[in-house]
Amino acid sequence: MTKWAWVALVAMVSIAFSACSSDDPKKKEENKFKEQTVVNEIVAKQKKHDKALLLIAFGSTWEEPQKTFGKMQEAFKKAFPDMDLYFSFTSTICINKLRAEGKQVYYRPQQWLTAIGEAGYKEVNVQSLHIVPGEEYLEIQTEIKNFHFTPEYGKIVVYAGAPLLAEKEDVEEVAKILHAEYKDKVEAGNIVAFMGHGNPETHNYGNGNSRYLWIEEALQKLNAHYYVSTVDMENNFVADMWKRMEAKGDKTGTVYCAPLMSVAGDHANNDMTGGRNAKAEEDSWRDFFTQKGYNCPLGNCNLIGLGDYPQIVDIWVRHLQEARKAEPMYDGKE
Amino acid sequence: MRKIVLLLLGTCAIITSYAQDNKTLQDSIPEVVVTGTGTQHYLKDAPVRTEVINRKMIEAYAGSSLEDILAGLAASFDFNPNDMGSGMQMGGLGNGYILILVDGKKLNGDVGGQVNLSRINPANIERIELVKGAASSLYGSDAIAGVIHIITKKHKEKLLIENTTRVGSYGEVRQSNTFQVSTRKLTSTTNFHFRHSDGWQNTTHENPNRYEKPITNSINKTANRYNTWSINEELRYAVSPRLNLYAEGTWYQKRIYRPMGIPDFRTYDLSYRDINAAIGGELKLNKTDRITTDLIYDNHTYYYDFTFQTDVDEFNEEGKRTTYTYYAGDRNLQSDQNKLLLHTKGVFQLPAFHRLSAGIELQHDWLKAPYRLSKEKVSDYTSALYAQDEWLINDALNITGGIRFTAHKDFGVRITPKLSMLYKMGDFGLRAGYSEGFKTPTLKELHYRYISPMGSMVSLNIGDLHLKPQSSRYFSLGGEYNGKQFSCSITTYLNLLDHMITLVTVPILEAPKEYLIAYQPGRVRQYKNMNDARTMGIDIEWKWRVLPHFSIGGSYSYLDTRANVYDEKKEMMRRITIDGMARHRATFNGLWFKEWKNYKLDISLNGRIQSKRYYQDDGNGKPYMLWRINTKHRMPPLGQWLWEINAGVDNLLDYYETTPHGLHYGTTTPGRTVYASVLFRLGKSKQKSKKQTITHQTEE
Repeated sequence: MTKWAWVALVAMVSIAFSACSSDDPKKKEENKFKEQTVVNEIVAKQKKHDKALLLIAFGSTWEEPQKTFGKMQEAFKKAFPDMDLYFSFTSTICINKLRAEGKQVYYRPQQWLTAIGEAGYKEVNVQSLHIVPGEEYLEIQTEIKNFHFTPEYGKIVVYAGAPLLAEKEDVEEVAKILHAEYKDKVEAGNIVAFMGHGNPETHNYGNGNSRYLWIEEALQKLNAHYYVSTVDMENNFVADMWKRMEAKGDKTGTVYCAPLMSVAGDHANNDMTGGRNAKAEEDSWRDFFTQKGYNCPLGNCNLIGLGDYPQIVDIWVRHLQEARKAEPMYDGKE
Repeated sequence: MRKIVLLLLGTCAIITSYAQDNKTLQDSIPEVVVTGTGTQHYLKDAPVRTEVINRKMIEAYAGSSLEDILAGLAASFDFNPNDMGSGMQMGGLGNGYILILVDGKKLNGDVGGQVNLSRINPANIERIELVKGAASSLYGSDAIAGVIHIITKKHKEKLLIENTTRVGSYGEVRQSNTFQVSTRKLTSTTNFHFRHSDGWQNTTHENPNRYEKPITNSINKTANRYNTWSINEELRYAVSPRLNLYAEGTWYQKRIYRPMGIPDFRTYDLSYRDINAAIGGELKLNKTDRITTDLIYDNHTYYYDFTFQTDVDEFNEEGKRTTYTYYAGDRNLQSDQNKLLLHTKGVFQLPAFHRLSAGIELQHDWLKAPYRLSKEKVSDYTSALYAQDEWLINDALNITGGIRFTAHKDFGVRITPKLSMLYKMGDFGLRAGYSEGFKTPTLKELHYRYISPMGSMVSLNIGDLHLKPQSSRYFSLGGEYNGKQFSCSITTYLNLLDHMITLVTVPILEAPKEYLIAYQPGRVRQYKNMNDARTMGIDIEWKWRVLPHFSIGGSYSYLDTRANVYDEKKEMMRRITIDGMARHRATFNGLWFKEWKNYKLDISLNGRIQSKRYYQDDGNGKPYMLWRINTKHRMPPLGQWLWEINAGVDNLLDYYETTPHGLHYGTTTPGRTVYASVLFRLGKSKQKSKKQTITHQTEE
C-alpha cells in the first residue's frame, strides 16, 4: 500500500512538472519562420516593380490615425508610382490589436525587409515617418544595416529618407504650416502648446530632442504664444513648458493643445486631452493647464496629427526624393 | 463615528444583560484556536485575539468560494476580483500584507501581489481563524495586516469516500472528492477538486475615458469564465506514539478564458499552475513538549495561453529587442516563482506556568520571468529566529510576549517584538496588544517590469531596486463577553506603517529606456515607498443563541485609512486614502434548525452591507447590500451512505452594478443566483467528544 501511494505521488508530480510551454528556442524559431513565410508570400504576390518602398511608423491602435496613415500612403504612392509600397509598424502592441480586430495587417520592418529581399527586388527605399532623427530612427537604420549585411540581400540598393524635422529648413517650413493653422488663435492672444514625443536623455541618438527646441524657437519667431514640450524629453515636460510660459508673461488665458506627432493617437488622446469627459484625467495636459488657472476645455484639444497636413506629408515625400538624388545608403556593390 | 460606537456598545450591553438572564438556553461547544500562538487554546482564553469562522457557519453559509465565505462572514474583509486575483483587503490593507496559511503552511505564489485563493477548496474547510495585525511572532514578512489560517477537514475514518457536487447559476459547477484509507500506522488521503464558472457580464459599456469613442457593445465580462483543477495527496505515518511523519503534494491548475473582441481584442487566456510538496513530522518529547519540522517546496507558474496570433517582444540584458510570433494554442511563461522553506519549531512547558515556543525558518525564493525581468533569474534568502513565551500569571491574567529576528541577504537584520495581554473577569475579558511587523520588498516589487494595457492606454509597471523594507506598529485594545448564549467582542486598532510600498505613477523617464522606445507608454507606474500610512478601525463581532434552535450573529467593521505620498509633479506631500477603503462594513447571519427522526433542516439568512469604497483613480465603488438564504437538508441515510442537500438563493434582492468596465465596483455580483449541492459520504463518522479539555499544559 505504502509503495503504491509513493508511486502515485511521484507520478503525479512528474506529470505536473512535464507540462511544457512554447517558450523553447526551437519552437520560437519555427514560429518566426512560419510567419516570415506568410510575409514573403504577400510580397511575392504584390510585386509589380523592381523597386520597393517601405514606410515605417511607430503605429497606433486608434481609428483616426489609420485614416492618417492611409492618406500618407496615398501621397507616397502618387509620388513614387514605380515602386511597390509596404507599410510597417514598429509597435507589436499596435500590430497585435489591429490584426485581432480583423482590420489592417501590419508587419514589422524586419519582416518586410526580409520578404523584399526574398522577392528579388533590386532597390528598396525606406522612409521613416518619425518626427525627429532620434532613437527610433536609429532603430530603423539598424534594421537596414542588418538587412544589407545579410549575405543574400547585399546586392540590393538601399535609400533611406530622413524623418520630418531633419534640418533647420524643415523645422521652419513645418512651423510656417502650423502657424497658418493656428494664426487666428495666437494673434488673438491665446496660447498654443504642441506635444512632441521626445527621447529619454540616455537614448537621444543624434540629439533628436534638439528639434523640439528648434521648432519652438521657429514658431515663436512667428508668434510669441507658441510653445512645444514633450512626454519623454528630460527638462522639457509640460511643467517645464509652463515655467517658460510664465517667464514670458503667458500666465493666464486660453490654451489650445495639439500633438506634434505624425498621428493623434494614444498620447494625444490620453496624455494631452485626458479623455473625453468634461473633467480631464489627472496628469493630462488639459488637466494641468486647468489646474494652473488657464482656460483649456475639451474643445481646445485639436486631435490632428502632422500626417493630416498634406503640406507636411510632402516634406516627408521630399526627403525620400532627396535621398534618392544623393548617394544610396548602400549601393549594392559590396 | 463616536455615536455609532456608543450605540453599538450600548446594544452589546443590553443584549448581554438579557442573555445573562436567559438561563434556559443550551450550552455551546467552545471553539479551539491555534493561530495566534501556535498552541491550542479555547477561543476565549487565547492570548492573541482570534476570530473564528467555524464549520457550522461555513456550512450554513454555503459559500461558493473562500472569497465568498470571508466576505459573507467577516466584515473586515473586502474583495475586488479581476483576472489577476481576488483583490482581497483585510482591515484596509491588501493581499501583500495578509499571510494566508493552510494547515500552518504558507500559500505561495502571486500575480500582482495577489495570492490565488481559488486554490482553496471550500468544501474541505473545517474552520478559518483570523488574527489581525502582526500580532504573532510565529509569522514573518506577510502578516502586517493579519493572518488567515485555513484549517482543513481531518477525517478519522478507516475508509472514507466523500463527494460534493454543486451547480448554480452562470454555469457554476463544483466537484469535490475525498478518498481516505487507513491502516494501523499509515493514512492516505486524496482530494480532488474541480470548479467552473461561465462568468457573467453586467454591462456592455466601457470607461468612456479610456477609448476613442464611447463603447456600448463591449464583450468584456464582469467576471470571466474559468476552470480550476487540483489534486492533493497526503500520507501520514505514525512511526510510534511519539513520532508522526507526513508527506504531501498538490497539483493545481487554473485557466481564465478571456473573450476576444470589442474593445480590447485580447489574444491570450491566463493560466496558473501550482505544484507543492511538503515533508515533515512531529516528535513528542513528553506529555507537553514537542518539536515539529516542515520542509516545503512550492512552484507557482503563470502563463499566457494564446488564442490568436500575437507578436511578443523579448529584451536581452543589454536592452536589445527580439520579437517572436505566437499562434493560437501556444503558451509562454510569464512568471515562475519558487520557494523552499525549512521550518523547525519546539514547544516547551517551563516552570511557573510559562510555555516557550521557539523556532527557526530558512527560506529561499527565486523567480524566473523571461518577459518581465532584466535578467534570467532573481532570488533572495531570508532566515528568521523567533521565541514566544506564554505566561499564565494566574487564572485571570495571561501575558504572551514574543520576539522575531529576521535576517535578509539584502536588507540586514531586524528585530520585531510582540506583546499580548488577556485579563479575564468571569465571562468578561480585556485584551491589549502591541506588535511590530517587518516586510522586505518582494522580488517582483524589486525587479519586475511589464506592460499592462488599460483600455487603449499602455501602462508600464516597473519595480524599484531602491525600495526599503516596510515596517509596522500595531496597537489593539479590546473587550469581550463570552457568555453561554451570547458573546460579543469589540476591538479597536491602529496600524502604523512606514515605507509602505505601492504602485504609483512616476515620471516617464523612470522607465527602462528600451521600453519607452518600444512601447511609448502613456503611463509609467513604479513600486515606491510611500512616506507613511496608517489604518485604524473598530471591529465588532457578536453571536446570540436566542432560542435553542435559533441563533443570530454578525460583525461590523469601521475603517479609516490614510497615506502620505510625495507628489513629484506638485513637489509637495499629498494625503490620500488607501485605495479600496470603505468606512463601514457589516455582516449579519441568522440560523434556525429543526431535527426530525431521520431528517434535519437548517435555514440560514446572511447579509452584507457596505458603504462606498474610495479610490484615487477610476471612480469609487458603490455602497451595496446583499442577502442570501440557504437551506440545508440532512437526509435519511441510504444504507451506509450519508447524504445531505444544500440549496439556496444568493443576492435575494437582485442587486447588481452596471458601472462601465474599467471603473471601480462596490461588488461584482451578477445579481440573484440560485445554487444546489449534494453531498454523499460513505462510512459512519466516529463519535466526537462533546467537549474538549485544554489546559495551559495540554498540547495537541
